[in-house]
Amino acid sequence: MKLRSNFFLGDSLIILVSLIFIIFAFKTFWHFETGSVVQVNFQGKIYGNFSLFQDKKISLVGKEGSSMIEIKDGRARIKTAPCKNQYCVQQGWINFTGQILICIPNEVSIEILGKTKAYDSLNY
Amino acid sequence: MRFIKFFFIVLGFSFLQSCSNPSLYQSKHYVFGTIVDISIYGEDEKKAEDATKAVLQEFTRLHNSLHAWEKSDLTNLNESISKNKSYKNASLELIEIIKNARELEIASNHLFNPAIGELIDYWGFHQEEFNPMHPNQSKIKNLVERGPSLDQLHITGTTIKSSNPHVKIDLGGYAKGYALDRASKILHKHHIKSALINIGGNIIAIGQHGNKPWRVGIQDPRGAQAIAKVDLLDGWAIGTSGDYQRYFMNDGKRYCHLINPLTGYPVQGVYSATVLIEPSQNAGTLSDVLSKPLFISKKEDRKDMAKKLQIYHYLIIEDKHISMTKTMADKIQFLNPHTKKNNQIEITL
Repeated sequence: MKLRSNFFLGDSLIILVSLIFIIFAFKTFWHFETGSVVQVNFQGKIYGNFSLFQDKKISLVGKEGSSMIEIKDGRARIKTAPCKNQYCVQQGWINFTGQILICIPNEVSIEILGKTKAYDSLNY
Repeated sequence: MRFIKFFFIVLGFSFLQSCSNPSLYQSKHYVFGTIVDISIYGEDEKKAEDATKAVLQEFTRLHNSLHAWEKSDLTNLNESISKNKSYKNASLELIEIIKNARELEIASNHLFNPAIGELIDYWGFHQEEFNPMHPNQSKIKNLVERGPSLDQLHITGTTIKSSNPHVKIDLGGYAKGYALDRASKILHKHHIKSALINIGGNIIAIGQHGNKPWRVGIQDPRGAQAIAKVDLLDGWAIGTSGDYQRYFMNDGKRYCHLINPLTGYPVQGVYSATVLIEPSQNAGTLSDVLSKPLFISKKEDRKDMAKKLQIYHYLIIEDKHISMTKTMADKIQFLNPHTKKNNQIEITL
């Protein structure tokens, strides 16, 4: 009898931990709209994935000069870019899954990732 | 009880597993002054990588052959034309392209006109980075009156001669689509069964993404995200002309890179025109070319233009107004419920 109850304690702990993990995972990843991670692409490669829930500045020095990416309050933007037209800077902050900012001259793009992508590629 | 533990551990791992997607090979590259995005599904990495490499090599070749302002076969041809000289030993490919583009120019009542390089250059769009400029009305009138058209080219064998020295060919509305068709052929040769190729927004689909069709987002012309999504079936292509891709602002007015050959001025008021093209040998090319005449033509002429060019699926976005054909409406889904509220939606036949 004693053995059985010990077993039950261990098992229920695992069940409990699993449940907490699942709830945590759902809360973290199950976003239909706002994303939690920004993927930075630089010179054709993935430079890195960064959580949106941090204050961070990433400086990338490319062919044209330095691009500055800023992450703050669950959003990301291209703060400064070395190009003339500044489209990427003017578009401002992004935080929804699938949103993307592209700076072609300096080969930088940032994209908000979510659990599921709404589409495979973007027509623009 | 062991079994239950095991079960939960497996459950936990399978949850993590579901986030990754092992058989999708994706790569991004910068060619044609834009982003090229290639996704290949369900092949081993080596095979996908080799096929991607072959496609990129082809794109670099086309870039060097068809570029409108960096030295290329095309700029050589333009130089000969401007000097009233005949251009000899043109490649068969270039001749085919010119003949095909000419047919499309005539079919579109010259709204798609790749011969207006002088105008595009005047507006400053023959640079990677351009400056806002103040247009001179009489200069533009003069450039329009020169009336360049691909129809003025005379091709005999491999020699090209123009009866109008002001023809300056710019394949900006053709080359990317042509490259899609080339890429599609190369991937088929490499026995790739499912892929999605995106060149600066123009997309063609091969096969499908596993058991679902490839899904493509259509950019919101006034936002940083997609406004709608559409399933792109095997062999279909999609292209958009928009005033948000290359433009400059001057005195609060937007000047985009799409210039009406008849007036000499950038089109104003239309945000974007999207066309969906059914499978054919040149679906990619058509997806690039056919959005232009729709973008440029007057609102009241649009329907006739679409009919003439046999465009059955299109979507036009203007200020608070979205119009599309019934067949297009059946295929797309708006992503944001507010889109339908904030815009007047018009469905045409």
